[in-house]
Amino acid sequence: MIVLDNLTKIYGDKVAVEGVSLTIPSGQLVGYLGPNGAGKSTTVKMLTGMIAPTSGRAEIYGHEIGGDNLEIKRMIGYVPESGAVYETLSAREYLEMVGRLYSLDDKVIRDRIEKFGDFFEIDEDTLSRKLLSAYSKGMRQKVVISAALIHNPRVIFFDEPLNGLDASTQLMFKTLIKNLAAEGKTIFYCSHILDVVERTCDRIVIIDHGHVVADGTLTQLQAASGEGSLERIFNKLTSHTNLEERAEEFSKTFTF
Amino acid sequence: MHMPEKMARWLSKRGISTRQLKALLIVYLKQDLRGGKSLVSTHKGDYIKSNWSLLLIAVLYTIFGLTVAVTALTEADVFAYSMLALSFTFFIALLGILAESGNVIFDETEADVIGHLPISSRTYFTAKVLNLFLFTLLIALSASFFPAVFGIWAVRSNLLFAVAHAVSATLMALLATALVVISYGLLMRFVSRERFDNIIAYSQGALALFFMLGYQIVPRIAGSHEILTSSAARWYHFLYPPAWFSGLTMLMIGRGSLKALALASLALASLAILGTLAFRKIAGGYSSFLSKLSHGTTKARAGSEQGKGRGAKRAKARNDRVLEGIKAAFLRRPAERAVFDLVSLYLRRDREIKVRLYPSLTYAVVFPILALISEGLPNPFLSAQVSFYGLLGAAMVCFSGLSAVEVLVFSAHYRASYIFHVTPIARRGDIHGGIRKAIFVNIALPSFLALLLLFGFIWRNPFHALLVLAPWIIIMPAVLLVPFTFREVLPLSRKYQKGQQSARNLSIFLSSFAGLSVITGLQIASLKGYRPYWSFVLIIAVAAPLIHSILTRINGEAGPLKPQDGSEEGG
Repeated sequence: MIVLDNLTKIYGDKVAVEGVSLTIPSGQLVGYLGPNGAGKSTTVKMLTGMIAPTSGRAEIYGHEIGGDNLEIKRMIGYVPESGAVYETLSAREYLEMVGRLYSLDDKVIRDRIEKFGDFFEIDEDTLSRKLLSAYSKGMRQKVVISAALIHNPRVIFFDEPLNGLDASTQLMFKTLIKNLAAEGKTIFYCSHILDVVERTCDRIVIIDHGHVVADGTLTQLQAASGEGSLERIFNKLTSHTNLEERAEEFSKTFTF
Repeated sequence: MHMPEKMARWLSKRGISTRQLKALLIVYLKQDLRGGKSLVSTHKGDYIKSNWSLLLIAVLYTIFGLTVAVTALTEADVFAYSMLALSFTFFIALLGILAESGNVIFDETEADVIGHLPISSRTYFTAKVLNLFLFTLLIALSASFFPAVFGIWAVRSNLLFAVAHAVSATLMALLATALVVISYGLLMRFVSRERFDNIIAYSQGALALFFMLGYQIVPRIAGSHEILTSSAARWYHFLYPPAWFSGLTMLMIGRGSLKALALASLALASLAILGTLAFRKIAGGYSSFLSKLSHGTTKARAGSEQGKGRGAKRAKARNDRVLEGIKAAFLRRPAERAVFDLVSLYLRRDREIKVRLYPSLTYAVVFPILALISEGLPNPFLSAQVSFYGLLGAAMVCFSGLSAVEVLVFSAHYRASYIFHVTPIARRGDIHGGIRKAIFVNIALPSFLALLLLFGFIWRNPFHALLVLAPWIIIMPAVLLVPFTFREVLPLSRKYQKGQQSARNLSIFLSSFAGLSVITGLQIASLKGYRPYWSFVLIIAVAAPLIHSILTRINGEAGPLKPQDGSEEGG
């Protein structure tokens, strides 16, 4: 279970996240949506113990965020938006390093790397002999996702996990996260891709300018907003109106 | 219980996981030693692009060590010789570590990779310090190779000296690492994130200045027959770290005395104190500091506009227009101007660039200060004496400019350099010109101005100061073309690897030293009256544009950019 209570983060004079309160039970797949700069990544970085909140509190399975957060870090997996890895390692070396940092046995690490390799269709030669600097963005993202799951975490934070993934891998990934949630893992899924959230998530939270502006199932949000699709609900709640007209007006800029 | 298990338990009690430490160290070592895409393989024909910078550093410092080692053959006493060799090791290790420490200790790009992993701050800090120590050790042991061997022939020495000196050099490297880490650690504790970026760059420069001045002790020891042949105790030995470790060497080779014991005790006590300080006061908060560094924001400098009166705003707008006019004349091509702005902003704002560059900027000031201390820096137009070190300061501005070109090649934001390949830049000279002009405006001119003020103030004659500096200002644009010879340089386009800055600084120093010394020699000859000074200025004024024109043609500045080889990117 994840509990956020009035969680706030302020950078200098900029409020990134303000008073976010949520309770997420085990096994729930939560879509965390918001426009650019709404505070999604900041929320995730606070929950993963990477940055300290300015005020408010949060806890994951009874462990409160704060201090060294080692207990929390042991039970979470995180896929960062940047897809950052140590590029001068091969994928195998990178995953071995991550496994060891989670204190897994070498045999367990090897077995899991084989499974990830099979699942993401990364052959042994690529896995062991090619450095990550030579991987495409999508291939690198597969390694980052594998690294987040290697220790079988109870809670997984995905920040734009589909970045660079091809269509078939996206399909596999969507099935994977549904199954992980069904097994009891709590999944916190940040994305701009509304279609994926609409189809996969049990619950949708929309954040705008650091505030939660909607929280519920798709049906609840539809009922509350009077809109049909998640795209329309999102645009309505995040004050993005007249989008088509504005796009049409902007396109005229390029008519010489 | 076996020794490693006892050690692991001992570390574990102090919040350091040996397994995690080992995993991190292996990764850091692989990162430091590797480059390119392929892994080494003997059976499939793949290859590894190794980091040759580290090997180059080892070779160059080994050769430098030879220059100190030969002192052993001049009837030097083993204690004084050991102190000389360790002084050399100590200061070059400090300067080397200073050039690399920013990229190791403040690697904020790591936050997204391992910031969420359950690694204690102490484990992470220990891994970083050990990684830095291994680099320092490479420098220290390379520089100590010949001194350790030649030291066997020093007066009162024996065969054990070779091993004892290596041990002392290793401990000395540890002290150098601890000193730099603690300096930064204390800065982290007491300075806010917003001020840190600026302070770290300037403190880097100040530390370099301090260590460079300290390094000047080496030639003074080597040049003093009295110091080199004496085994007597002096009060300053107790204040001078290399002397402490010489005391340790004396104990190890069986030349123990009360003085040696006291000095060795100081050496070991300094390591213990610094080690305790590092782990008690810095290690615990290291992760959270890095997190602040990675995820914090730097305040925009827009506040200066607020609160200004209408008159002040109008004056600023007028100044901006004048400045824009000058820029438009100085940078006629839009691409050149874009690169100039990019490079200028990075030189002023980017911590990574500043931390690697600022130490080499101090060279221009170090030599005139030394000249001032040792010979009073006389005015060459009014005195029969001409200070070589004083003029070397002006030559070092050229070295700083060359060093800046190499610094600007590397950046954590190297992926963004694709922009130079997708935009229609007709001449690579536009990019090169933008880099050179930015360096001239942001690095060379302020350095020359500092020297002008220094010389002008000491000589009480700014005109004489300008006369001395003018030839160097004239030749600077031609000098700045040299790094672009036979190669294409894109700013901020390559990922940094350990040792590259030190290796490049050394290479530039060695390769440019001859040319810059020739110009300095000619200037000294003219100032001493071997030929009229105006003739020297005239030669430079004619030669500089000629060299500039030849190098521009050789460099193919008018040609387009070459396509990338893709060695830094994935498919």
